[in-house]
Amino acid sequence: MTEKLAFIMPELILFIATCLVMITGQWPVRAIRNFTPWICGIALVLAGMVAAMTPGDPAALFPNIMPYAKFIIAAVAILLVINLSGTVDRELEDDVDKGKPFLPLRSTGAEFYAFFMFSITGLMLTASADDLIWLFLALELTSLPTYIMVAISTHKNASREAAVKYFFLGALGAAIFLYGFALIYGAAGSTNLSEIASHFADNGLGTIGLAGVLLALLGMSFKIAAIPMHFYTPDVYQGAASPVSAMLAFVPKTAGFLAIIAITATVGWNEFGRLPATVESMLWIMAALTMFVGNTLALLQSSVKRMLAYSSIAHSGYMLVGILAGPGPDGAPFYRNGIAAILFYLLCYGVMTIGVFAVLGAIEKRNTDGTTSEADDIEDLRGLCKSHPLLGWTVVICALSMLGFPPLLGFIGKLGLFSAGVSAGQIPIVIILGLNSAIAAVYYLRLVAVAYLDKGDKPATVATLSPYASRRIAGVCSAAGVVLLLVVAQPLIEGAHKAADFNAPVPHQADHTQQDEPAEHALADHEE
Amino acid sequence: MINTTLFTNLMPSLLALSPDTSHATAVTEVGSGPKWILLIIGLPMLTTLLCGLYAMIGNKTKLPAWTTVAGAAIAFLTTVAMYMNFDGTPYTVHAFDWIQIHFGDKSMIANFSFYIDTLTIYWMLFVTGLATLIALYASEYMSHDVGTSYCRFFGAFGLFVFSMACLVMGDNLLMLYLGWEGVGLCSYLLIGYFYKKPEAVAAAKKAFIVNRIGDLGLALGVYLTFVHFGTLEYAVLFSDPTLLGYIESAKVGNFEAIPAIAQWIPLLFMVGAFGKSAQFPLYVWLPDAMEGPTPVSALIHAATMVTAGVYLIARTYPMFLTSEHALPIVAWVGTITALLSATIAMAQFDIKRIMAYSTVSQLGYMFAGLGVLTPTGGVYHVLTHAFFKALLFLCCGAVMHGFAGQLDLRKLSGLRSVKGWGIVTLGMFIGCINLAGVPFTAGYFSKDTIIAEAFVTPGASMIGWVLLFTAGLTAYYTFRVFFRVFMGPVEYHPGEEHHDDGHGDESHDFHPHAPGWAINTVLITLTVCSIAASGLYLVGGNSDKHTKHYAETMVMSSTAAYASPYSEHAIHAAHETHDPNAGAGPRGTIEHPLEVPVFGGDPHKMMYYISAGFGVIGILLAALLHGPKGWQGLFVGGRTNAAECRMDPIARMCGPIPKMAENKWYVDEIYAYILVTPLRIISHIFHWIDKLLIDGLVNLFGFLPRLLAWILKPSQSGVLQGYAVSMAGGVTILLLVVFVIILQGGAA
Amino acid sequence: MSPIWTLLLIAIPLIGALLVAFDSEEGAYVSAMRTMLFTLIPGAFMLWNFDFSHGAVHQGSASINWISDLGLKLSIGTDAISLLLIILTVLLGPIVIAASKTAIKEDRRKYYAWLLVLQAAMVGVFAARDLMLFYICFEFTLLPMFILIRCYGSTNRVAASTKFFLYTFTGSMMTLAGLIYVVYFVAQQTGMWTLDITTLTAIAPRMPVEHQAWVLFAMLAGFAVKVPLFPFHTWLPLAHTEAPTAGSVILAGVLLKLGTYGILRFAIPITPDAFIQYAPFIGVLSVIGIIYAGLICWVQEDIKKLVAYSSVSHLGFCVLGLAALNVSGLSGSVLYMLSHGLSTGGLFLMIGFMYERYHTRDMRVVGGLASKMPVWTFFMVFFTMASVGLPGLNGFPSEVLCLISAFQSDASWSAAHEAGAWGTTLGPWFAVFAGTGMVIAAMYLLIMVGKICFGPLREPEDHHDHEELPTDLSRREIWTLIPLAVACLVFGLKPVYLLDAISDPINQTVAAATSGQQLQHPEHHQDHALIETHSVNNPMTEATP
Repeated sequence: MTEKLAFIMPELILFIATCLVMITGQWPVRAIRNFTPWICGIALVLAGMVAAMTPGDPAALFPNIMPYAKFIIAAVAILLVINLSGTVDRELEDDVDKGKPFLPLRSTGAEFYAFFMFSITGLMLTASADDLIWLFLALELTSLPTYIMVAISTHKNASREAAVKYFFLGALGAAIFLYGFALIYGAAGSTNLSEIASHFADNGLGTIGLAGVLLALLGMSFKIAAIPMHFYTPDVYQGAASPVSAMLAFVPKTAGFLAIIAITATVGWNEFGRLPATVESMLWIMAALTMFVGNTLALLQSSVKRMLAYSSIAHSGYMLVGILAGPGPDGAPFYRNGIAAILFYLLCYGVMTIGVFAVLGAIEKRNTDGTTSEADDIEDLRGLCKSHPLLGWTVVICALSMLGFPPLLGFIGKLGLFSAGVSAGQIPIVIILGLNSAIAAVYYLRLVAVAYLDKGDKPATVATLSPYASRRIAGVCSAAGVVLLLVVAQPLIEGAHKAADFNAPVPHQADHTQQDEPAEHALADHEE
Repeated sequence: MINTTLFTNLMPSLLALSPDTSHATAVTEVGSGPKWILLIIGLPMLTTLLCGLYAMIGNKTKLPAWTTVAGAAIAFLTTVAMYMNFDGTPYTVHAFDWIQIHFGDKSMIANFSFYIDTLTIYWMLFVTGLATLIALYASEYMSHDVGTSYCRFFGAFGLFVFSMACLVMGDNLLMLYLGWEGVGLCSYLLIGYFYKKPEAVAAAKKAFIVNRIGDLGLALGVYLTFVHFGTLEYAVLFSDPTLLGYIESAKVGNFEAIPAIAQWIPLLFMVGAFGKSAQFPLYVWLPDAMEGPTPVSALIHAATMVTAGVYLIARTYPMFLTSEHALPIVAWVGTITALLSATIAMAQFDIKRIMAYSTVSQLGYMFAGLGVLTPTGGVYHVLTHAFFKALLFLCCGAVMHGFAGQLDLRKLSGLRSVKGWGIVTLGMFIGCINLAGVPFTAGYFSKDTIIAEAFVTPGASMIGWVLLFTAGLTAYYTFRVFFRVFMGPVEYHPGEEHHDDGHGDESHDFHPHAPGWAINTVLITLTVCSIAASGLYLVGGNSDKHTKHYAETMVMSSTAAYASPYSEHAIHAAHETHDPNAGAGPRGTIEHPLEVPVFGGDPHKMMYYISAGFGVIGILLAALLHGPKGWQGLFVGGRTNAAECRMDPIARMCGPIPKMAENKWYVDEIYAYILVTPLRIISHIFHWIDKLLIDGLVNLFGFLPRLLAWILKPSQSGVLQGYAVSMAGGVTILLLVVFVIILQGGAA
Repeated sequence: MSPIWTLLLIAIPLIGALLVAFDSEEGAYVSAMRTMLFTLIPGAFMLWNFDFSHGAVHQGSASINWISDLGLKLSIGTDAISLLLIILTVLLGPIVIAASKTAIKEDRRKYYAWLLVLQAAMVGVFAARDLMLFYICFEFTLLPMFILIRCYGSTNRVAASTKFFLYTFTGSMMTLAGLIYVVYFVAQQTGMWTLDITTLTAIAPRMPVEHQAWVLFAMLAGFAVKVPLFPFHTWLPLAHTEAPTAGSVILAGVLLKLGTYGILRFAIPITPDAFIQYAPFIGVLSVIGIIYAGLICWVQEDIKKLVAYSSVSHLGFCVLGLAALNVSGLSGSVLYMLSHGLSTGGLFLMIGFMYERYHTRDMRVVGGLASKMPVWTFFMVFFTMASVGLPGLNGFPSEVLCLISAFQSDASWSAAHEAGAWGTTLGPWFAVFAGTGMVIAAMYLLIMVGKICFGPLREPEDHHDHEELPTDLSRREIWTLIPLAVACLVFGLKPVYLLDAISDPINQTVAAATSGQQLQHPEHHQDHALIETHSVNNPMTEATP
C-alpha cells in the first residue's frame, strides 16, 4: 500500500496547501488573505514539478499516464488559479476598504480556494486511479467542490439555480456510473482495473460487464458534458462566474476523460485497434451526436458563455474520436494513438478556452443602477481590439485556435485526432469531425468579427476593466500559450505519446475468441 | 439545301489530271529569306506606336496621317522589292519564336515568321498599295477631327495593315489566325470610330461577334490541323506525306480513305472564311459596318480584309481538295450570296450601302470561283474588285464628305455638272463599268473567268446561270446609282452633318465643298489602276509555266494551285495533255469538257459575249428606269428630278417585294428571333438557376445546422426535471440502440 | 539557388506587416509600398539564380523539423512552376497596394498589414514542400481575405465574407481528411509518417484505384471550390463584387490559382489513375462552367459581377487543360494560371478606378465614358481584348493549348503523334463546346465595353467629380496598370519563354501520372532522393542540382 504514496505525492502537496489555504483564506490580515492564491499557485507549481518526476505505475493499464496528466493538470490549474482571484468576497473587501472590520464568517475566500484545491486534488487522483473505488472517490472529490464553488461564485440567484441543477444532475450522473461500476465488479469480481481488464480479456465482456461498462461510460458523459448528459452545461456555465465556468470547462472534463480512458481500457481494443462492436457503436453515436448538438446549438447563442458551453460539449465530441481510435497496437506512433491525441488535446482545449473565459471575467459592464456585472452578451465584446487590444487579441487568437485554424494550437490538436481517427480506420467519424469544425467556424468567426472586425451600428456598450489584473494576465498568458506552445509542441506531444502507451492485458487462455465478438457471447448469456 | 452530290462524281475527274504527287519530293526545308522583308510587318506597327505617341503628347496636326502614309508607302516599296528579287521558290523569314511546346520527340511550333510565295506577294502588293493610297485619302477625309481621334484613326489604320500583313505573310496557321483576329479588332475599332453614335457602337459589336463565330470555325480547324497533321507550318504541312496521300485518294474519288477529321478541317476553315468575307449566312455584319468612316469601308470592308476568306481558302486549297463536300458548298454559298445581296442592293437608297451589298455580292463571285476550281478566277477577281470597289467607295466618300453626309440617291442628282466634281464623276464611272462588267474592263475579265469555269465544271452550270443573271442585276444597280446621282438635273440636299459643317447655317445657302488635292490624287490613281488591272489579264502569261496571264502565273505557282503545292508538276502533267490552256484550270484537261460547249462554242469565248450582253441589258434597264432625259440617260431615261423616277410605279406594282428587299429580306430580324432572343432567354434562365437553385442549395446546406439547432433548442428548457428526464431518456435510448445492435450481431 | 531568397519573400512581408501595424495611419501606405517593393529584390534574385535547365528539380530546398511526431516539417523549395507563380504573386503585390491608395480611407494600417500577411501566405503555399505546411498556408490565406472583404468591402460584405470563408473552409476540411488518408497510406507502405510531398507523390499512386477515387473527391472538395469549378462557384461572384479592388485583384490573380495549383500538384500526382478515370467528369463540369457562366455574364448589369462570372468561365479552360492531362493541356493550364490574373486583374483595377469616381458599378447608370476618360477607355479595351483571348495578348496561347489538348487527349484523333496524346480521353466535343466559350466571351465582354465605354455619356445624377482624383486616370493609376499591360503583351508575344521554363516539370508530371507506376521513373526518383537527403540529413542546406 505504501508504494502508492509515491504516486500521489503531488496530491499530498496539494492537500497540505489546501489545509493552509483554509486558514489563510480568512486571516484578518489583508496581506495574508491576499497571499492565499499565491499559496495555491506555489503548491501547484511544486505539484507539477513533482508530478513530472514521479515514476509511472508499471502495473497500471497506462503506466506512464500519471506524470504527464498531473503535469498538464497542474499547469492549467495555475492558469485557473490566476484567473480565479477576486471571484468572491469582493463586496466584503470593499467594505474593509471603507474601514469596516473584516468578518471571517462572511468571507468565503477560504472555502472557495480550498474547494478549488480539493477539486484539483481529485482530478490528479483520477489520473492515478487504478481501482474502481478509487476512481469513483476521485471523481466525486473532483465534482463535489465545484457544486459549491458555482453556488458561491456570485451573489446572483442564477448561480444558486445553476448550482442546484448541477448538483442534482451530477448526482444522477454519479448514480448511473456508480451502478455501472457495481455491475463491472459483479462481472469481473475485482475492483482493480488491471485485473478487470485481464478478466475481460480472458472471459470476454459478458452481458453484465457490457451493461456495466456502458452505464459507466454514460455516467461519465456527465463529467465531459457529452450526449446524453450535456443538458446542464449551458445553464451552469452561464450561471457561474466566468472564472468558475472556465474551471468547469476544464476540470470535470479532464477527470471524465481520464475515467473514460481507464474504463474503456479495461474493455480493451482488439488487434485491429477496435473496441467491441457494442461499446464502439455507442461511443460512436455519442461522439457524433455530441459534436452536432454542441456546434449547432452554439450557433443560436448571443451569450458568449452559453456559446462556450456548447463549444465545450462539441470539443468533448471531438475528443471521443480519440477514444474510438484507441491507443493502437503496441508501440504505435503518435499519429495512430488516439489516447495520446486526447491527452494533448485536453491541454490545448484547456489553454484556449480559459483564454476566452478570462477575457469575459476581465471586462465588466456598468449597469444602469451603477452596479457592475461581468460581460456575457456577445455585444459586450464589440470593438474590444480597439478599446483593450490585449484582451481583444486574446479573444481573436483563442477563438481562431478553437476553430482549428492553422497553424494555431487547436489545429495541431485536431490534427492529432484526425490522423488517429484516419489511421484507426474511423473515416466516417473523422469526416463528421471535419464537418463540425466547419459548422463551428460560424460562431467562432462571429467572436472574431465582433472583437476585431465589425464596427457595429450602435456604439458598443462601454466595457470597463475589472479591478483584477490577474484575470487579464491569465487571458494574455493563455493567448500566448496558444501561440508559444506551438514551438514546444514536439516535447508535449512526445510526453502525451509516452503517457498513452497502453500495456494491453495479455489473456491467460489461449483462445479468447469471445473477446472479438462479445455480441454473440452476450446474446448467449441472454438466452440462459 | 445545297445539293453537293452533283459534285461528287466531279471531284475525281477534276483531280485526275493533277500530277501524281507520290513521287513528288517533299520540300520540308524551305530556305530563309532576307530580313529586310520584316519591314513590311514592322513599319505599320511602328506607325501605330508613333500615332499613340502623338496622341500622348497631344499632337494637333496631320502628322499621324503623314506618318502612316509614309509607313505604308515604304512597306509597299519593300513589297515591290520583295517581288523583284523573288526567284520563284518560296522561302520563310523568321522574326522570333512565339509558341513552342515539346512533348516527347514531337513539338508544336508556331513562330513569328513569314512565308513568301507568289500568292503572298500578289496579295501584299495590292494590300500595301491600297493602304498607302487610302491613308492619303483619309488624311484629308478625316481632317474634321484632327487631334486625339485623328491619331486614334491612323493608329488603328496602321494596326490594321500590320495585322493584314501577318494574316497574309504568316508562315503558319496560328500566325494567320493572329492576323485574322487582328484585322477583326481593327475593324471593330474603326467601325466604332464615331463611338458616340449608338448605331456605330452596335455595328462594331455585331461585326466582331459575327466574325468571332467564323473565327471559332477557323480556330477549331487550325487545332484539328495540328492534332491531325502534327504541324501548323505551311512549308511542312503542304508537303506532308499524309496530306499528299489524301489528295491521291481524292483524285480517284475514294474519299472513304480520307479520315473524317481531315475532311472536317476544310469545312471548319470554310466557316471562318464565310465569317470574315461576309458570306451567307454570316454576311449581316458587313452592311452595318458602313457606319465607319468611308476610307475604312473602302480599305477594310471592300478591298482587303473581307478578301481574307478568299486568301484562306486559296492558301489551304490542297486541304480543300481532300474534302468531298467543302468546295461544292463553297461554290453554292458564294452563288447564293451573290444573288441574294445583289437583289438587296437593287432596293437600297443609301449609295454606300448599295456598295456594301455589291461587295458582298462580288465576294460571292470570288467564292463561287474558288468553289468551281478556278482559284485563279477568284483571286484575280479579288484584285480587280479591290481596285474598283475601293474607287467606288472613295467616290461615295467624296460625295458624303462634300454633301454633309448625304448618301440618299433620292436627294442627289447631276453631280457631274457641279463645279469641282469632274474627277469624282470620272472615277465613279470607271468604277461602275468595272463593276457592271462592261467589256474589256478588268471586272469584265475576272468575272468571266469565274462564270466560264462554272459552265465547264460538270454539274455546276446552274451556278453559271445564276452568276450570269446576277451579273445583269449588278449592272443594273450599279448604273442606277450612277445615273441618279451623277447624271441629270443638278439637285442636292445636304445631309444631317450639315449644321456642324461650318459652311452656312441654313440649308438653303449650302455649298458642297469639292474634294481637295489629296482625294483627287487618290481617285485618279485608283481610276488608272482599275483600268490597268485588266492588263494583268492580257499580259504576264508565263510560257514555261503554261499560264495565260499574270494573275494565273502568280496563283498557279503558289499553294493555291488547285492540284497540289507542286504546281510545276501540275503544269508538266497538264503539258502532256497538249492543251495550250493547260494549267489554267481543269478546263482543257478533263477529257469531256470540250464536248459540253455552251451555245456551241468554247465556253470561255462564249462567256465574253453572253456576260457582256447581260451587262449591257442591265445598264440599259438602269438608264430606262433611272436615267434622266437626253444623252445622259442614253436617250431612254426620263427622270426630271432627284426624287422620283420610272422605277417608282413599277416598284409599287411589285407590292411588298421591294420593301422586303430594302429590309434585306429581314435576315437580321430572323436571326434575332431564332438565335439571339432564345439565347438571351436561356441566359436569364441560367442566371436565375444560379441565383435560386445552385446558390440556394449552398445556402440550404448552410442553413441545415441552424435548422437542427432550432429542432434541438426545446431540449434546453432550463427546467431541472426536464433535464433529468431527458438525461435518463437519453441513457435509455442509447442502451436500447446498443441492444438492437446486439440482436443484429446475434442474427448475423 | 539559395533558400534564403524564398525565406526572405515570406519574412519581409510579415515583418513589414508588423511595421505597418505599428505605423501611423498616414504612413501606412508608404511603408506597405516600401515593403512590397523590397520583396521584388529577393524575387528578382530567385528568378536570376533559378536553374531552368533543371526546372523540375525543387531548388533552394530547406527544411526544419517542427513536430516530428506528426511529421510536420517547415520545408520549402521551388520548381519552375511554383517559381513562376511566386514571381506573379510578388509582381502583383505593389500593384494592389498602389491601387488602394485612395480607395481605402480609414483603418489603413489594418488593411495594408493584412495585405502583406496575405502576400506571405501566398508565397508560402507555392514554396511549401511539406504537405501540412502547404495546407496551413493554403488555409491561412482565408483569414486575410476574409478580413479584407469583411472590413473594406461594399454593402453586402458581411454575407460575402462569411460565405467565402465557410464555403472554402468546409471544402478544405474534406481535403485535409483526404490528404491525411494519403499520408496514412504512405506511412503503411514505408513505415514512416512523412508529409514530404515528393515522397507522398512517389508512393501514393500505389493506392488501389477506388481509394484513389475517394481521395480525389476529398481533394476536389477543397480545390474545386477554390478554383471555382461549376457548380461550386457561387461564392465567387459575391466575394468579387463585395471585395475591395485589391482584394478582387488578388483573388483573381492568385487565390483562385491555388485551386488549380492544388489539382496540378496533388490531385494529379497522388491519384493519377482515379484522375484519369474521372477526367471526363471533371472536363464536363469545366465545359459546362465555361458556357454557363459565360451566358450568365451576358445578362449582368453589375459590371464587377460580370467580370467575376467571366473568371468562372475562364478558369473552366484552365481545368479543362488539367483534365486533358497531356503536355499541351498542362502547359496551357499553367500558362492560364499565370496569365488569367493579369487580364482579369487588370479589368478589376479598371472597374475599381471607375468605382472610385462614380460609386456605382451599374452599367445602366454609368456609361459612354470614352469621351470623358479616354485613357481609362484605352486600358479597358486593352484588358478586355486580352481576356477575349486576342492573339498577341496573354489570353490566347493558353486558350489555344487548352483546346488543342482536349482534341489531342483523344488518341484516336491525334493519330499523327501519339507522343502528345498521353492522358485522359476527353475528345473533340469537349474542345468544340469549350470553343463556343470564345464566342460567348467576345459577346459579353464587347457588350460590356460597348455599354461602359462607348455610346453617349451617362453619369449618375448626383455625380460630382472626385475631390482627390482627376477626371481621367491619375499618373499613379496609370503606373499601376502599365506593368500588367506590359506583362499581357510579353505573355502574348513570347509565351515561349514560359513554355520552355515549365516544359520540364510538366513533361515529368504527365509522364509520371500517365505511366501508372511511379517507380519506373528513375529521374523522378533521383531528384526525389536528392531532396530527401537535403531535407532530412542536413536541414538548411541548399539543393543545387
